[in-house]
Amino acid sequence: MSLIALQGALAALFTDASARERFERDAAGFARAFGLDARESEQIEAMSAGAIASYAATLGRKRRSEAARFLTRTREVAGDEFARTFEAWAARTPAVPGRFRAARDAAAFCDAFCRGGGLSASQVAAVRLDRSEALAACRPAMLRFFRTVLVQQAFGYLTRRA
Amino acid sequence: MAAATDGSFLGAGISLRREHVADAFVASESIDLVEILADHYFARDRRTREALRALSERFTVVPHGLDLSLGSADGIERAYLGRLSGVVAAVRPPYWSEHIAFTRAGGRRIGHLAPLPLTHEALDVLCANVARVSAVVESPLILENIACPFDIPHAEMSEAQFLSALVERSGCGLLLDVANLYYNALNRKLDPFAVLAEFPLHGVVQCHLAGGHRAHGEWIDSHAFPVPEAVWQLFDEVARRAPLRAAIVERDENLPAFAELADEAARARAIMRRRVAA
Repeated sequence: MSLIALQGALAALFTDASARERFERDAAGFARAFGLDARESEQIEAMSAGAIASYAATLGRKRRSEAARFLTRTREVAGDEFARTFEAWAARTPAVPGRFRAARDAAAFCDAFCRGGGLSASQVAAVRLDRSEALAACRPAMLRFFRTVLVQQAFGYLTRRA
Repeated sequence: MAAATDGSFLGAGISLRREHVADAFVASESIDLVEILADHYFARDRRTREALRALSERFTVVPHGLDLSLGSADGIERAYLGRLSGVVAAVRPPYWSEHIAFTRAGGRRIGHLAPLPLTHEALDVLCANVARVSAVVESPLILENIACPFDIPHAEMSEAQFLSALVERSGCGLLLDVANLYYNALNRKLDPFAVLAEFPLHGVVQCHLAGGHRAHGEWIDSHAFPVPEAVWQLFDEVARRAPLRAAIVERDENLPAFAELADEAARARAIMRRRVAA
């Protein structure tokens, strides 16, 4: 086959927990599903599941480190559990592509964290504030500018009317 | 286009993070150059353009790409390359850098640097992608070795042989991440100095210096700690044997005060100057 198929299989192993489970259960079947030839199958099958899991965990840590700057309040709410909770979520959730990857990751984590339950109303509000700020960071600067102008004009209009 | 290896000594600096931008401008005399993560400057708004202009007016700026995926058999993403090319053109660097890795395959974005199999096919793909990119970006490219705790089995050559062939065929210089070399060697229970001895040091243009940590029985190049003494010793050896133009100190977590990073850059500068003088 080709390097394309091998890299596709590796990308699945690195980013998808269910692919890693399939690989651990049946490495040869996993290789066949990606259309790898005999030599590439050997390459994949010879890889240690532990090393792959460790590398995937590194990706989770990296995603956490990048998203954390949008999650100031959520980190406070989660306390010592933040790293573990985020990385467990990241292992189940593929990263979103694009240049706002970290902000989108942060917003998606906020959703999942709220859905997880066990938070007080004020904690949910704090996490949602992080979420909205993360999503705001994804908007192109021009849209942010026009939004600010509109808000300012609306505020001026209401102030004059009052 | 001149090769990255042909050029003057640039000195030592830091990989600039937003938390240090103000301090870097205030204490700009303490560093000779800055490396910027090109992906952070892809927005085409006025603020980004002004930031790039201000940086390039004050410093020698070296853009460092993260997600070009030079090793992808899928090829290069034109949109990403266009944005990267725009950043490079805006700061007019002596050279720019990317990783010997793939970050995208089979429709997935990995979100991190994944290792290439050390095979002739992977080398062919990498060289073809480098040629494609070099035809678009008007500045020499240097290529960085990555940290990875494992190898893809059935390699057809060693990492040093792969890098030697890459330098030979692509004409690119190398960005030697000394910490990556060090932690990779430790994770494989190899002598880092023996590994370094095999590397094509004649092609090394710039070094990265950083500190990692050990977790779950494995060394991680986390960029979270000061440069350890062992990495300084390796860097000393590189500076003695390579035509180094610059060294960059990297820190992504546990960000210290700017002055601490500037001190590490000063140590790197002193080592390079001592070697140049000798």
